[in-house]
Amino acid sequence: MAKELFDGIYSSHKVVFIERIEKNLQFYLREKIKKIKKSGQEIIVDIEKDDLDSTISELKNNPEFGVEILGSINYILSGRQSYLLLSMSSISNNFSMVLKVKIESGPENMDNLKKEFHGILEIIGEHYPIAGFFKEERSFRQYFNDVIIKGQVPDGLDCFDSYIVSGYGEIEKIFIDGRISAIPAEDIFCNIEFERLLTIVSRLDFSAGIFPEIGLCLALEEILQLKVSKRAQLIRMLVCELFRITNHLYFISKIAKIAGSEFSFNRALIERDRAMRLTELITGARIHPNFSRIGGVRQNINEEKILNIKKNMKILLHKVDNLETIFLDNTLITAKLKNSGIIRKETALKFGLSGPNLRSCGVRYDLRKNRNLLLYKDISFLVPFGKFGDCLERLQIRFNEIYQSIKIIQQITDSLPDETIRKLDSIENFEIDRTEAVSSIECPHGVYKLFIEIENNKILNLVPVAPSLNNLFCAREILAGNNIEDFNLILASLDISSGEMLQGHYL
Amino acid sequence: MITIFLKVIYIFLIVGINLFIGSYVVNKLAARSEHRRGFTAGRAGGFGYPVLKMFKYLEKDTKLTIWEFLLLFFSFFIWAIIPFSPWLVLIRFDADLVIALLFYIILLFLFLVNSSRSSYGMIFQNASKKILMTFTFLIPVFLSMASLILINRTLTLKEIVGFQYQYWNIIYQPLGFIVFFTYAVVQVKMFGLSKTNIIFYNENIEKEGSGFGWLTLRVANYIMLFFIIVLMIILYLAGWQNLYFIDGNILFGLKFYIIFFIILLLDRATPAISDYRYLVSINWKFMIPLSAANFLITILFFILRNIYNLI
Repeated sequence: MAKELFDGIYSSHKVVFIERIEKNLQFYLREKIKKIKKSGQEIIVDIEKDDLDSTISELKNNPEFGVEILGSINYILSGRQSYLLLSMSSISNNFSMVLKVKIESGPENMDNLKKEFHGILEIIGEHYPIAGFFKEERSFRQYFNDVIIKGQVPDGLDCFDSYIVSGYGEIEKIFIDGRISAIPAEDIFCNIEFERLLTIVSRLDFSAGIFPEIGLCLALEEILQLKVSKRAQLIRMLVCELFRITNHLYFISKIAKIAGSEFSFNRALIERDRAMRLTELITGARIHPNFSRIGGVRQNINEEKILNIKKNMKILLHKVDNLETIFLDNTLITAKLKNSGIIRKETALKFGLSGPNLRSCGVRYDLRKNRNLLLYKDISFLVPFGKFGDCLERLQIRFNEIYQSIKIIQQITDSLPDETIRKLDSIENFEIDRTEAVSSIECPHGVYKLFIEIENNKILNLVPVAPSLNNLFCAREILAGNNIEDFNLILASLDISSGEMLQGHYL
Repeated sequence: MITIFLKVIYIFLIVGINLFIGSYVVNKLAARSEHRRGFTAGRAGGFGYPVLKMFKYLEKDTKLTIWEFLLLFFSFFIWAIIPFSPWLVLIRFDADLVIALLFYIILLFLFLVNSSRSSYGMIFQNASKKILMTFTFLIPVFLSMASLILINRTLTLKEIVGFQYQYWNIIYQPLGFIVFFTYAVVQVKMFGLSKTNIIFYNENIEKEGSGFGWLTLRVANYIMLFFIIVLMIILYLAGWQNLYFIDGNILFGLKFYIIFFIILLLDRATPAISDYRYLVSINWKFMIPLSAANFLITILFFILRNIYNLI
């Protein structure tokens, strides 16, 4: 009985909390909301275009909701009807929602659609200034032409061109064009089956491929109301944390390379390889794991593998600690990192930052703690957060997160129960009507959200809402006033993943 | 005549062998500090690789611009004035310290001008910025040299070495030595020995077929470091003076390699400096105050001892 209680037969306090928000929404916005749906710990709200202004105003100003963050705006075509998806979240009330706005024009008349889209952006822009960044800016080449920096060598900085107006070596104004490498996700992921999608969805984030997979599985499990065994969830967490370590070490290596410390660069890559060997041991792949399955995971891990992980975690902890000492006890490097690229708390919230970048500004927000995500509630760990929001703080948070991830992995390997890791039912036996779902997961860059729309085991729409685009928008604000020499360093410290640049954001 | 010819051959041999050893050591040390293997071609740890590399550059392109030609000329001609031993010097001046510094400044100027070239002509803004920045580093060096000359009361390098038969100049001028040493490290940081520094990046470096020109740049880079180290040894570390039973010439080489190794290790242990503001702050916040203090103390000492006979 106690075990069943523990495993979540009864809803946890977070779920109850979401239900309260849902009731409040129905109470305050009952005339405007066409449909409201709870998907796991997310809420999807359908509204008409005419009610948009008043709805957003209510959501932002009502203390019951206090929605501070507009994460992203996406266009989707569902059947023949066009919608705009606004991904919003509130840190004070600890919930996030997707606002689905119906628009009249369709893709058959692109001019009208663009006009309407820009009209809506202006409405949203009155409440959330980030909406202005989703507008098409054709004239940037005319005005931003002092310095043009094309895609750079370090990974993550290769997916955009930058047009800068400079004065005396300082950046005055900057436009970053992320369109050059935007992936046409709709064409790749739409109208294919779940099983096929699961194998290729990791391409959306090549530095931490497990997170889109698990996000998709969580959404589908929510639709099918599947309960995943504790062992499978713990294995998922284990792989997640390994990928988090890998990603953060890669981030550190990039910063070391730009700061000019070749020694730390190589040390970080060697340790990343150690973590990658472990992921390879568990999942069979290093970059694209293809490991998570609906209702479980693909492979079990045996005692031998657990022992290997335990042994390597001890070494990794020691080596990363060593690396931190070598890298950050150097005044030449800390002088470079300190006080450059400062993000204030208000700026971070304005641009919808999430993950370590948000936490470095002093906001303690981590989905692993703030939500009922996987089984993180059973594990003891800390969420490191900073104060100043500069490059140094962002780097230190990554180091601390690696230590916490190692702590989580050690706890998981110590208490892995003997259970089945997969559902024995085939997915073909389920009949799914047309439905939609949202799931979000704390990936190393920030909060990774997936919106899916499905019918008859096929994906109609898949909208990944990734944090990298918000980081790029924020970079436009914080880079102004900094030296051109610090351009690479500040952009790399925001941890931008090129796989997350999607065409769906731009109409 | 034969003596001069022999001297030229000796000087070429010394410089050539040191260039070979220097480039080998720099590459191996850089590789080891980055967990790479470094030169691996051939047997014996790739010991013949610097020579192979030289031929590789020569095979690419043998054209030289006037700047590169002058660089090559001065990087060898500078050794005509510097004495490796009391005997091994080609041209003797009374004030050979000044002439040597003049040659060094010419070499530095040529290097900077060459690094500001682009295929469309000279970038004057670039060149003037680099020259301003680099030449301000010479202020502390001149100040510390001036204090040294005040003590030794000569401008001849041979006499400066002779002065140190009992006590080395480093004992009289420790601050001056620190400034000189810092300058050597900063020069390596600025010009980049094991990798190209962003500040002194030549627009033509990655152009196809940059062979002999690039080789001359590399040689000039090494020669400038060698020059500073040799000058440091002559001015502060007693040059070729014997120490008890150890021969002075062997000691000279030993001192040279010890300082060379320390500078290389410092270069590898610290990250690359790509921000010129930081470099300038090293100069104005550390080197110039230190050398100025050293100069004032020396003048005070000089006045008290030589004019008032108080010490």
